[in-house]
Amino acid sequence: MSEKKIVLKSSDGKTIDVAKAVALQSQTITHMVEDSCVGNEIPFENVTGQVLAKVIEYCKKHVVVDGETLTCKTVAHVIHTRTIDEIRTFFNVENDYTPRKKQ
Amino acid sequence: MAKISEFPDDLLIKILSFLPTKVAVSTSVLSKQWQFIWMWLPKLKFTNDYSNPIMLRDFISKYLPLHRAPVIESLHLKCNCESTEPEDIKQWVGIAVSRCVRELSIYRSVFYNAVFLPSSLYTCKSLVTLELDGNILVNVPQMVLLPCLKTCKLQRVIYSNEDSLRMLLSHCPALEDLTISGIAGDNMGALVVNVPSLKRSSLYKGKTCSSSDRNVIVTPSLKYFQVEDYRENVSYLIEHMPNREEADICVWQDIDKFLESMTSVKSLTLRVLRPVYLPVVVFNQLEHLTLHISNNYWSKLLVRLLKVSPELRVLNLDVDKYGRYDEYQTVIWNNEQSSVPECLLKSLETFRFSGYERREEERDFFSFFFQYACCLKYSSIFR
Repeated sequence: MSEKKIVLKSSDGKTIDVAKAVALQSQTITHMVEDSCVGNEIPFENVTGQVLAKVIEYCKKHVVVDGETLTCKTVAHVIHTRTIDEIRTFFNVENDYTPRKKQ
Repeated sequence: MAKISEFPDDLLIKILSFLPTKVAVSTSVLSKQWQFIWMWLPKLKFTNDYSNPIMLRDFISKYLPLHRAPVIESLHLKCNCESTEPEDIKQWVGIAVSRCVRELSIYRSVFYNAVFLPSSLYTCKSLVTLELDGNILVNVPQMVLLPCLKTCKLQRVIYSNEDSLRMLLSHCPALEDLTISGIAGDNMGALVVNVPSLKRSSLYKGKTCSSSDRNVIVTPSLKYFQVEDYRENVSYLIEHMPNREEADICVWQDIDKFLESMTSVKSLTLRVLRPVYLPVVVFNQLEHLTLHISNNYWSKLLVRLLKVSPELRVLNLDVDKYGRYDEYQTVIWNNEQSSVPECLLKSLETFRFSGYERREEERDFFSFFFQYACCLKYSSIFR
């Protein structure tokens, strides 16, 4: 996975380096990246450095965890909160142990 | 979502990695597909199951040698029951060491037999974190080297001889974080901490710990230092620590030596157990001072401290309600400009006082303090 960075430039000349994955949490930034990518620097002529910093702070907190991790954590939660029989039912797991092996 | 029975083993292992070890182990009965998945988990945490301590011990003894993960990243053992024999724990630690363990944490209650550790632990090339708490014998062999150890916590453990601790610490070239907590009868001997790489250190010695010869602290890279030593007959030799940023001192003896070693500190917490004379020092970079006091004439010590802390911005004062203040007689503060602490006039912005009981010394101090603290932005006084 590449660690691509984007540079955001505010109206008062401040620049903020941000990982692409984080920046793309914002619809606005995504559109601007698609429309007007001059190298890797995106100008925000109507937004001050202070406001831009706050936006990026928000984006960092809401980065979506990758799908695989989310799935695993969900399954783990199910396992943690149910009995063995309930888990088998929930996930359609067939108990293929012969009766002697069952503990 | 695809059927779980179609998940590759890697994914099942990842699922179990989000569960407590005990729950992960229980999935082995789900089906044949799940039988050995838990045995690939790199992080294992076994805490006592009070309902079935013997079963747990038998289980670990049987399955740990067969564990399939090529690397056991972490092993946590909390074994405070009789049925877990010292031999068991020694064997389990040995297995973890042979599987390149990075983090080892063992707790053993003082009510059960002391645990001793395999000598292979003391030459473990992969160990990064070692936490030993309780009735554990630290028997450092002649050959000792822990090249990757960064964090070491030894709390209430026992040492096989008085040189063990020094031997151990002097063979940890990458050690950054050290916590040592003594206990009566631990055979620790003198506290010799000579570790050039150390950045954080917390030392605790209760009143009943044995008093010993010179305790030596040589830690030139130290940033954070905490010491609590209630022993009455000890002495310290402390080398100057230029990088010290934060210190928390609570000692009965040698407080002047501690203060002399940390003149570059930015944040200082001082718990004064008895009347003390300040050495001749200046805290040029001190910005935060917290003082806990419980005896007469604390205001004199405080004003002396203020005089040698020209950059102080935050002052927290905590007066012990149960301290002894009955011998105080009015102190007349010298109101000449040259005697007023510079930080009151130029830098002090925040003042917090806790334990206010309207005692005479408190009132005298306030009238002096508030007269000159002209930069205060925030001030609070609590009972």
